[in-house]
Parts: sequence; structure tokens; C-alpha cells
Amino acid sequence: MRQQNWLEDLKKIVGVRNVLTDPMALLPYSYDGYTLVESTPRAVVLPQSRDEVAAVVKILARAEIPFLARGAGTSLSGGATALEGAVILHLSRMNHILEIDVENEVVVVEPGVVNVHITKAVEPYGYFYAPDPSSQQACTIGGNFAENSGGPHCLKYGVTVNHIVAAEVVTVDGDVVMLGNLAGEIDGPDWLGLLIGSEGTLVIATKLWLRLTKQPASSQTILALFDEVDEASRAVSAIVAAGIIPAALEMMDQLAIDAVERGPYPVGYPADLRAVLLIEVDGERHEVLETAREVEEILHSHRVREVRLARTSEEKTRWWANRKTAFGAMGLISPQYYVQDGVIPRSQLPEALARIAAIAKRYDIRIANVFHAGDGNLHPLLLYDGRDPQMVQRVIQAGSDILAVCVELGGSITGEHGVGIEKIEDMRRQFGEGDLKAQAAVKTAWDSEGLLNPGKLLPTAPRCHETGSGPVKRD
Amino acid sequence: MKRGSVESRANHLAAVFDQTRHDHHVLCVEGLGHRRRESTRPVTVYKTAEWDRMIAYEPADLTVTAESGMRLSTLNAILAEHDQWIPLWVADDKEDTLGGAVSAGIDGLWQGGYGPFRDRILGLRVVTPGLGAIELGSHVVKNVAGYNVPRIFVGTRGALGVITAVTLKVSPRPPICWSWVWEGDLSALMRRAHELRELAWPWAALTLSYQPGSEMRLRAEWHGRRETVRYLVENLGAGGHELPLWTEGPWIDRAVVFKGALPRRAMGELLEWVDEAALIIEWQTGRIFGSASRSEAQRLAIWLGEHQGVFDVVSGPDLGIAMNPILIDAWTRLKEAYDPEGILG
Repeated sequence: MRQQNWLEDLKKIVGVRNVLTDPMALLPYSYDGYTLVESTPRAVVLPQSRDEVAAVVKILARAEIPFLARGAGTSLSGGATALEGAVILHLSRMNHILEIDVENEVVVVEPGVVNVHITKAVEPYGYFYAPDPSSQQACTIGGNFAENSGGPHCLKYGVTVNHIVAAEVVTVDGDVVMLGNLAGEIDGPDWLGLLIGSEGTLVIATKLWLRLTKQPASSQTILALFDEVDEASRAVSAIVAAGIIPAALEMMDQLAIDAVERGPYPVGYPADLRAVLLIEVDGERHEVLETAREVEEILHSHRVREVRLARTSEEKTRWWANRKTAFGAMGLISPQYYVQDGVIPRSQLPEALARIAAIAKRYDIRIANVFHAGDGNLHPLLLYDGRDPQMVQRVIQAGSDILAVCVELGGSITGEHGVGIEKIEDMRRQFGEGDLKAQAAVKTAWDSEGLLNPGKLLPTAPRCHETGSGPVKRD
Repeated sequence: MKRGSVESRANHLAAVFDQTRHDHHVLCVEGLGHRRRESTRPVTVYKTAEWDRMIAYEPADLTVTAESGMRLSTLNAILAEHDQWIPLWVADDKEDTLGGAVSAGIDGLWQGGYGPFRDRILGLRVVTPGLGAIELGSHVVKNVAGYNVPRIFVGTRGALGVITAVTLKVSPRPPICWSWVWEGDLSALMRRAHELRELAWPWAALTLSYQPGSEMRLRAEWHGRRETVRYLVENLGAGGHELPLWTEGPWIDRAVVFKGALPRRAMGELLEWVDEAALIIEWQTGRIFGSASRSEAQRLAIWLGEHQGVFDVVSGPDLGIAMNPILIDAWTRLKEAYDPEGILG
């Protein structure tokens, strides 16, 4: 039996001010970091506790109204955009760091805590929180849970699933379940490992226990400037082949360098530079010294134009700020940009970059490359002008072609941005029908009615929910 | 059945499923048979140890795909040609197949240095009674496309499907592995362990082990570069290449072989409490491994439960550890899709 007065019931739970239905108030929620699709939510609710989340979910589930959680809305695949008339639970009020448990090396947080705030809070104790997506100044840990976020340093330290030891989650029925434990070990099925990265389609996280990582005793940041993209790619493979796993191994091509040098943190790269590698090695100080020396040798055997070692922490910070603001810097060389996210086997890096260049030529668009070279996670940035509808279509097609290349080379359609709305049909490129059925069974096991974040991740037929405003392709 | 295509594996397993169904048995898939849990239902044992083909190995990508029956030692011998390996050393020194290690949720002592074994599992090829042959995960080191389904095959003993191939992330083999040991009073060893973590980090393993009737032993193992080992030798003494894990003699299986973990805060307390079990704790991660009588194992399971720890039987009787009812519902629905007739237990 559907409830007709669900909106009033929600107001009783969270207060009138914390239920938004005014079209103007809903407008900012009509898209996230993936701006190619807009869809206005039916309402936005702002709970401030686990019990409020559970109560809101129960009301919506009884009324058969779909819903999803949203943090900062930085998803680059549409994961935080409400489809099928869904209600958004905006968890920004659940933004407290609840406990820093140094003895157990765990920090307990609510889902609305901003990623970078966690590291800032634990730094005085000699720790950091390792996953560091480029959006870490804004993105929240609840979103990181949903997307299994990575970042430059996940090459050595791993992604979100490797750093959450326990989670309190609310199921689609409004039940509260505790998964994992302070010890960070599984007993029985690894539900926690399954739910992290499920793009908010299975549960809503309301409290997270995060593993703290000891700050390394020493680190060395290295910049390698190249005249050829191919040589830079080969140097990446050679570093890994030498048995070196740096903390980070990032690459930018000429167009990306042009953009970041116009941004707020220029490094002073020569204008004719074709590629730059940003490499960081860390660990015990003797390890770092020896490893950095070996990396330098490898770089010099790959026709590097110049190798720079960071001499001060300010220099290191600037190099990283330059890299981490690369996406935003695209706005300085193009009216708009579309970020792709695909993975290839590392050994295929030169081939993949050559094919991306060919795609750019075929569709007559510019593509900048800023990516996590160490793990083969590409982020081609497709530049366009939204006032040109034909160009928008060419960009969308070029993005799809890039994903086809990733799959053809034995890779994946997404390394860290998720499937969301954006790649839902591309799932068929990577998985066969049986494989998708196996994944659909997971969805059914946790959310048989398909109420949680519908229209994401799995390519299935639309369900018969009452619809609000439908998704609109922006052009 | 040793050599065969993916299709022939799937077809053969479909016939095995049919026969098991016909016999009203439960199918128990075994690698080498070390990690067996007792079952109350009649069991058809199916051995996969001959499924040992290398499917794909690209050293530059740090990934490998092999059939599930391949022994870890066989795989590591192949990887060693490229100075790579899968660093999994289980405290009982027993061999595991790749599929067996995944299904039993086995992990080793080097978690402090290399992370949990489950984090290496990139993809699985599985044959299920309900969905046929399926591919889960991917073959690259980073992937978030779709649900991380391989995770629910870790430690669930093949209850959802028979793993036929495993894709793993491999690690470079370190230039040198070196170890040091100390024995004696627990509080002195705990202080020493704390000092070691301050001296260098991360250790490949930092273990405290105890066998009934013998002294507590602290063992530190570093994997890395020679310069670091020289520095550690200056501070800790000579050490040795592969110093023994246990104080006296080799590992002895008791009725229950177990694994688990506990919060770091409770590690010392457990070592003070333990009496009749052989137990090893990895000091950086709180992971445990051991062997005990059934009654001692039950006491330990309760103790760990009371201290926010985890206890899991690797081999031996089912101790009846309960699952949350909400999770039972999710599991039941998954089983309905993957193994609707409960052939796999």
C-alpha cells in the first residue's frame, strides 16, 4: 500500500526546514560532477543521524519511492543524480569525525566528512588516510564508500575498499546493519568488500571506521620532463619492471601541461614539453634513497630531458597542487570538458595513448591526458564547447570509443569514477550476459524492488516507479 | 580432465552438478584438502588440483591468471623468473592451491608488508549451478566496473560456485628478506615490538607466537633493500635469512585450525589469556592464526567475540558461529540465483 502523505511524514522526522521541494532549491541537485545528464529529484531530505536516515528510508520504502544518498555531488559518472523520480538523502549534516582511535589505528567518521579533513585531523598523531581522489578537498567519505574511490597514491596504498575496516549501513528496508569489525578482518561472506563501490545501489553508509596509515618516515618527489610521450610511457613500464612500486606515478601530456601552467599553481614547465611524470617514492629512509636513485637511473636511460627532485616540502606541495588541479585547469583552455576514466594493462600504455590521439583526430576534438600511469588508469579530458551540439555528440562518441579501446586492450571501462549513468550501457562491452546476471543477483539480494539509486550501474529495463522529471541529456 | 578449454570445464562441472543432485549430496570442491570443514551432509568430493594451467601472465602489468588448482609454489616458481611473487606464507607452512586459498579465505603472515591476500584478487572465473560459467572482476589492477562480486567468494568455501581460474595482482620480489627473533617475557617482547615499529615500517611481518609449554617468541621480518637491512642489523644484531617462526619444532595440527583478527588494543591481553592453543599474532595488523582443541577453540571464539575480534575455522568442526539475520536473507537470495538447489552446500 503506497502512502500518500510520505512528504509530511518525512518532515516529522527531520523537520520542515530539512525537506526541500521548492524547484529552485532542487535545482542544484539536478546533476553532479557528470554534467551531461540532468534530472531533478522529487525532493531532498537532510537527515542528521543514523536513526533519521533509517526512519526516512522506511517511509520512502513503504511508499515505494526510490531514493539515494548524496554527499558533495562530485561523482563524475552521475552516481549522485536522482533518476526515476528518486528522493535524495543529502548527508551533509552528518559531517562529524566521531573518534580518533590511535591505539587501534582507526578513525570513526560520519559519511558527510570531507576526505581531506580526515588526514588533517589525524596528521598530528603521525597518520594519514591514504585514498586521496583529486576531488578530496570537496568529496565526502560516504561518496568514497559508494564509489570505491582511488587517487594518485592508491598505486601503493590501495583504494577505499582497502581502508575501510567496518561500516554501519542502512538497508533498503531501513534496517541498520554493522559490517566488518575493528580488526578489519572478514568472517563469513565479505559483505563489506562487496558493498564498497556498489555506487549507493545496495545500502546507505551512516558511519565508517577507517584504517589509518602511518606517515612514511621519508619520501622523495621527482619530476621527469620528456620530449616524447612514448618515452615517458616506456619509462613508466621500466620503473615497474624494475620492481619499484612508487607511492604515486602520474603523467600529463602537452595539452594538460599547457592548462595547468595557466592555473594557480604553475611549476614552470617549458612550453615545448610533451610529457611529464610526477613520481613519489616513500617509506623507510634507506629504501627511499636507494629507490629514488634507481628511478633516476631508469629515467635517464629513457631520453628524459630533465629530472628534478623536490628540495623542499613547499616545492613538493606545489607540484602536487599543479597535478591535482589539472581537471579544473581545463576550463582555462576550453569552455567545457568531459572526463573519461578507463583502465588498460600498464604494458599497453603507448598503444592506448596512440589510439586516443587517433580518436581525437577522427572526431576533430582536443583531448588532454592526465592520468595515473602507474596503474594504467587513464583520464582523457575531452575538450568541447557546449554551444555546439554536434561537437557535444562527437565528444560523447569519442568517449565511448576510448572505453572500447580500454576493453579491447584487456582493461576496464572504469578505474575509479564508477559506472553511474554514464557507462551503464558500456557495461555490456566489458561483461557478458551471464556475468551481468550474476551482478543483477547481487542487486536483487539487497534491493529486490530496485528502490536504491535506480538507473545506475547495471543495464536493466526501467522500473515502474512514479516518475518525477525524467533525465535530460544536456547539449 | 587436466587439459581442457573453459567450455569443457564448464560442461564437465555441469555433469558433476547433475550427478551430485541425483545423489542428494553436497558437492565439496577441494584443492589439496588441508582446509576442510566437517559437514553433516553426505558429500561428493571433487578435486581440482590437476587444473593447473597458466592462462595469462604479463610481468609488466603485475597480473597473472591461472587455473584454480595451481599450487601457490608452482605459480611462484614461474613468477620468480621475473623477480615477482605472490607473497602468501601461512603459519602452518602448508601448501594451498589458488582456488583453495580464495575459497577458504586463507591469509598469511606478511599482511603487514603486503596487505591481505583478498586485496590481490582481481578476478575469478566461476562455474555455478544457477548461472553457468561466469567471469567476475577484471584482469587489470584497478577496476570499479560493476559490483565487486569476487569478494563474496573469498572465504565462502565454494558455496556460490566452483572457482576455475583466479586473476591475481603480483608483487615484485624484494632484493632481500631478513629476520630477527627474541624470546622471553611477554611484556618485554611487546615493548620490543613497539620499538621495532618505531625503528622501521612497514615490516613484512612482526609476529608474536606461542605454543603451549614453550616461551613466547617475537619474530621480525624485513623485505626490502640491502641498505635498510644493514641499518637494521646495526640496530638489532645479525639476524638471519629464514629464522623459524615457532620456538619448538614444527607446526602441529590440533582439532581446530583457526584464523581471525582482533583490534590492536587487545593483542597483548589475548597473549596473556591464551593457554592451550598454539597461536600467532601479526603485531602490525592484529591478524591471528592458530590451532587448538575443540573446547579451547570455542573459548577463544567467545573471547574474541567479546573483544570485537573475529574467529573463523580454517579446518575442523563447524563451531556454529551465527550470522546476522539480515545478512542471512541477503545470502539466501544470492544462493537462490547462484545455486538454487543448494548443491554447493
